[in-house]
Amino acid sequence: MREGIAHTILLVTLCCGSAPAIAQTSNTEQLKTSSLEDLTQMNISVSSFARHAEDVAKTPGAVYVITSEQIQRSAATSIPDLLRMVPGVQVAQINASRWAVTARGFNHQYANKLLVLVDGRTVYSEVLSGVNWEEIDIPFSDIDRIEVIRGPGAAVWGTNAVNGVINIITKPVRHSLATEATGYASNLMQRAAIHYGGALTEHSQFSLDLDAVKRRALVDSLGQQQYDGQDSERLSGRIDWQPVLQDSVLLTGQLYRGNVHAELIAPPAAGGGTQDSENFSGGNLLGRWEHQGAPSDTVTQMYVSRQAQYALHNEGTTDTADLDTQDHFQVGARHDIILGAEVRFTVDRTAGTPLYTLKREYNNYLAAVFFQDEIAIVPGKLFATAGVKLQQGKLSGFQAQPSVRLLWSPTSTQSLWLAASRAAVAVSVADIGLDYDAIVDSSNGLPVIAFFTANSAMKPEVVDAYEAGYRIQLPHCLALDVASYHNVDARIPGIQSSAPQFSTEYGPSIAIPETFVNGYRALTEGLEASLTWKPTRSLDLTGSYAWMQAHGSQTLPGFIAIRNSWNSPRNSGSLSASQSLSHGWQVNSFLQYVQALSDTSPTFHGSTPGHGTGAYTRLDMHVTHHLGSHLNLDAGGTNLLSAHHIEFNDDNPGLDHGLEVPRSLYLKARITF
Amino acid sequence: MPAPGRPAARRGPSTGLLLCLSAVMTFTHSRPALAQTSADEAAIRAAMLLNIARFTDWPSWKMDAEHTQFLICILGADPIDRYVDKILDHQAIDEKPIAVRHLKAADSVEACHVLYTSVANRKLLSAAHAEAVRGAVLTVSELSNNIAPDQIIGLPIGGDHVRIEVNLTLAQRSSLRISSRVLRLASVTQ
Repeated sequence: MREGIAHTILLVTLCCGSAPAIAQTSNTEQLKTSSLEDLTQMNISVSSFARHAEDVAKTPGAVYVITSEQIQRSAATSIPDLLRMVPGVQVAQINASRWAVTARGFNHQYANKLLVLVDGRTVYSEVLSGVNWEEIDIPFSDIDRIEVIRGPGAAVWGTNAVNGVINIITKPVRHSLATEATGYASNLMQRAAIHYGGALTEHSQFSLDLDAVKRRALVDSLGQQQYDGQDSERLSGRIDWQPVLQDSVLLTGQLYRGNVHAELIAPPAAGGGTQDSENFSGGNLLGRWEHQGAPSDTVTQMYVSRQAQYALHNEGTTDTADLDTQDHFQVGARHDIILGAEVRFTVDRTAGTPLYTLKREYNNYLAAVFFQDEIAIVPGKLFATAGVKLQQGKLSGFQAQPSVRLLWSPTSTQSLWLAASRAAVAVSVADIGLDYDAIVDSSNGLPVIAFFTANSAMKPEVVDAYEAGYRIQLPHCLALDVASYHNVDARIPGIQSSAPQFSTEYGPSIAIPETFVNGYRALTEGLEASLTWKPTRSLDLTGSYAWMQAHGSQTLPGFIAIRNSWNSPRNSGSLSASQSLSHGWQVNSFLQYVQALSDTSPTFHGSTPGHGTGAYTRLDMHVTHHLGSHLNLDAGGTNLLSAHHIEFNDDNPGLDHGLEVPRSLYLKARITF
Repeated sequence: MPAPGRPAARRGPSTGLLLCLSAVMTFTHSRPALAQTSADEAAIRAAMLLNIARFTDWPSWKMDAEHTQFLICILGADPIDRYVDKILDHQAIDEKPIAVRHLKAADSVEACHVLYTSVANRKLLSAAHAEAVRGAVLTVSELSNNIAPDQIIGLPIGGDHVRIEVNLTLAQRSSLRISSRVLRLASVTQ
């Protein structure tokens, strides 16, 4: 009995003791003296916020890492669903295959202030200034981790990293050496995947993946079946090569295609409303070489990609080629420096029936250099980081995006950080090239048609962000991470409408000329917190909370509607519990509360209750069981608390309207051999 | 600690030892400089190898005076090489100094105490399986025991940590006794 208690005390002490807040990436001297218990608790070092291996605890910014353990235990069925647990990131499912995802406000199907990368490759579309999440529907077993940085990462990552950066990092082949077949079925989705990973030569490994997904269409608030279902397939391959100990080379490629059903309204020239489907397809090839040496570590990466979309007899393609290199070295004992340069070319083309014209062919280039110095003012306790990214491009113009940060750790269990940065959002091709006429209303029997014309004088939106954060490691294995921010957002795009006139261009109708202008500015504030607690070896508890608000005002006269509304809840939070039981069982629950989306337009005060999207609470549960050494069975459900609810409703025309997200129950099986 | 050659005690270490250890742990972790949370996975494996070797008992004929060194053999090129010098050199197991030997395909494994096989050489390990059992060799690799049934210890990645898997039946067949100190932290795959 006494022995039992002693064992427990030892375990609890070790548990709390082995995850202190402030740490260096350990050197081998320390590893030699580490106990086996410590070694099993140790995290594998990863490249992170500042583009080099660094512990989250030492980062002067709001960082959250979704680990592969959290991904495996989750009931999520898409990458946006996985992001729900991150405080400050808003995820709203629009329909079966579309999500509105952003960080720190202004949520939209094509939210333009969030940079999303897969293995360092940008998946943000400069045509739409947003992300098509269906194009990065990577199977979860391939994801090593997802690093989420809230706040501007522009000094290092570049334009559009204004409110955050999401970097989805796939597993090296070494972490998934096996042949695996996975099947998933629920009332909403079916998915099948095959994976093979093995050694290629003495120094290299390769993997191949094939994946197919089918998502069922949802119903709207009136109970009518809609046409938002999706099916897609994906083939990906990867080679990891370590020719010598100091070098590693990665080569990865994907091919994907899919079909999204959508309700697209054809402009008057084509005769009105229609249901159609959108085909999307694409491919990419990425190569990366990492060299670790004294005096410096260098990483060089190059990728090419093509994204194609076909809808309403129009085909749009974006071809990208990007070369990126960075060098990381120390100068003296106190300066830790990263220097980087990037060059990118994109060609955007539209072809097909000219129902709406974007620029037929648009060539864009981007050239950038960045510099970051982390200065140890008091080694181990006080660090200042200064960085800047200078960028020149056709859509971004010339941008200088500086950032200054301070990290102070008075004790080994606490740290406080401050930051001030500037970041910009490049204009999109649609901003300067869209020419689109749409029926928006009817009045006295006449159709009211909006005549959109692009504004080639659109300027990039700019955000100045002031942030502060605090981290503490408390007794009993509790850890708290708090971040707060105040953003000044200028040159926010809006849609300016002029006086209606009578028109006969499409038969008798009322015409409203519209164009894009930089017509708004806003002040936004928020607080994000996350608490983790590991009371026993087999139980993990996490809670997160976010509060945010905005005050906006128009900066130009006239009738201007903000293009991307605030659409964000004042309060939101989540709780997650994960328990390992005996005989290979594991249970995970995730509870999330999102307050009603508060709205905008024209002059918005972001704390007023919203319209169209009420508050909701959702509960997801996931149960895993290892059956023998080769089979893994999962079961669970999402949205267990309500039969259905709407998560997002945006008034903007031309976008998908929000459908009822229903309850789902699923089964999943994975065979490994 | 049990004396060299003696089988490990059936009960775990004494309460006194545990309380002493917990006091040491608490004391150690209040000193900021030694605290650590992350390391390269190959370095973690090298350190684990050292610790697991310390908590494993070889049969007395493998640890007699004729075996002057504790032989750790590495089959194939593996990232663990990078840390072999720094972590394994100048260490001793049961008073025998550690020597690291790099094996090639046709080499015999019987003299090794520990055999670490690289991912690419999984098939060579299968071919040498009978020899390894005969020679009481502790076979280790970074693959999971589920896909490498011919090894005793697997050190695969699980989430963000390096996990330990132990094939207890194979260990017993190889005349090796692995301490409960390791088994408590490992998943035992039969």
